[in-house]
Amino acid sequence: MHIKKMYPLWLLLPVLAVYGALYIYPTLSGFYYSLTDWNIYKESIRFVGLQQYRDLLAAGDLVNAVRHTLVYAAIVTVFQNGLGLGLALILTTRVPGRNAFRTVFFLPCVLSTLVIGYVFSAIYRPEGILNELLRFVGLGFATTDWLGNADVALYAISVANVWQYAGFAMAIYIAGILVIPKELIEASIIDGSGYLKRVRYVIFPLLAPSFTINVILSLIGSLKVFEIVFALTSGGPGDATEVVNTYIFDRFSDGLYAYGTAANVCLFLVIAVISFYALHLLRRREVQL
Amino acid sequence: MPRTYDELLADAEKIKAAGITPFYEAGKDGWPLQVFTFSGFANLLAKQPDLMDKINAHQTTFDQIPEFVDMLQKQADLVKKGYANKNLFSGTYDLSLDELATGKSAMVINADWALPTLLAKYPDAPVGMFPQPFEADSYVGISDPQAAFAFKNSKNVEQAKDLLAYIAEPETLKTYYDAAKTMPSWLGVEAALNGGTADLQPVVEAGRAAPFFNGLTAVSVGDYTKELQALYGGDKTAAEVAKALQKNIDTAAKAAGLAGW
Repeated sequence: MHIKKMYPLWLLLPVLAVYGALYIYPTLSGFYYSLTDWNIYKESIRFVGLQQYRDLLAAGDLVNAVRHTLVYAAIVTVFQNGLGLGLALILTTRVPGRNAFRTVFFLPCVLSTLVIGYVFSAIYRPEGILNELLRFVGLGFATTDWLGNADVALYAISVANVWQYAGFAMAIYIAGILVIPKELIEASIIDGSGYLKRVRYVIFPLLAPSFTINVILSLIGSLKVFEIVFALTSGGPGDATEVVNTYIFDRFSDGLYAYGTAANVCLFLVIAVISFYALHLLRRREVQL
Repeated sequence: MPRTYDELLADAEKIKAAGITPFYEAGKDGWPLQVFTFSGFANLLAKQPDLMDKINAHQTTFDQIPEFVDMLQKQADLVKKGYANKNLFSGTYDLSLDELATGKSAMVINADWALPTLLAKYPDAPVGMFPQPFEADSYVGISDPQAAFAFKNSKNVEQAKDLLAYIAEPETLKTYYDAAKTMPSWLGVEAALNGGTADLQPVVEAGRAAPFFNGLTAVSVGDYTKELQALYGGDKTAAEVAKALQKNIDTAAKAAGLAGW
């Protein structure tokens, strides 16, 4: 091929070396270490087969963490995309100051997640901004300790996550909307479509590639969630907001490295299966122009 | 100063009636919740000196020690009786010191490592300490002192030994303990202590002290904090928390391949 002559393949080597050393090798060695008895108490590492996985199943607390992670991922994926799409639709019309709004909504996703975590801690505190606001508008009965109440803490964290990344989804949707050929929109206007019909039958189907990438990114990101949970609740109170990554973190803190690694392999498999299945489903509905 | 647990509860009731939080619990940070049993366990060790050996040989388990489960129940009851701060899962260690120093809360269950921080911010805070009165002459738990080590294959073994010898000199120790204001773990070293620490010194010097039990178990106690949060939240009973603590130990002990598991 023409390109082969212009750029020799060995130029890939530096990238492959970095990728191999920092991603492929740790991932594969992780699979291996999950089959050993590696922990802080032992001087040497021994191969023990599937023992760690059997212990994981027997202990049963990973199931709880997986359940929280799935609920969290579902909420974040739905609302991050719903909100992102809504913002993108509004900010691609002739609304005044749309560029300023685009910047404002995108800004949170360039901030450190830990910073977002501390900001939301202040918002969610019992005497924090949210409860004061609720009391001010006469909804005092709805106030609670948002991160201390086991029934709502997981949802409160997912709101912080949606707030942070809805702007990122918005940016991808805006890019997708802007490349939709004007003729198609104009043709649908001439055919007499209203705004909602135009969104439903013209814009949304043509946005399918943006939709696919956004859904996949938010799914993977939220299944792997760690920092925001760690900053807001560390998985507590009790294990009310324990997600798989905080569970793995705790097992490593206990010095149970192989056990934590086995949990990590489980998370990897769950993410791979869900992402590939979602990708397969979403790809089918993408339209080629 | 309350001498029995009933007296403590009666005092808490009076404090609560006066509109002050009897116990400030740092439920968000979580680790301070451990001190209640870490320290109280010293009373069980005083009565059964071989208790820890039995636990470490897996001859008994935490959930089979009724006194331990009872201690957890007492801890849960502090919350149930309304003696703890509202929204205790937002409570942090830093806030607990503020609340104590400013008199918004009457008591904090913690160790004297809190005093230097507290007094740096509130030099005149009238703060003292007393042992949790599980017994008339209650024992206290101590976080056992750490040791310094030198690596024998180091290139600078002699210098390392010199440094350790310097640290162990009476004059250095005096300087250190005068600044740190913790109870010296060296014989013959006198230090000027903060009021609260001085309150407990006679108890420790009378021998009514034992290390926190997490320093005595053969393996890590795991994430005991999370279990105590579940106890406070009403998600687990005292017996279930004791079981969960034992489960953490069982998991680690099996991983370590200890005899008895």
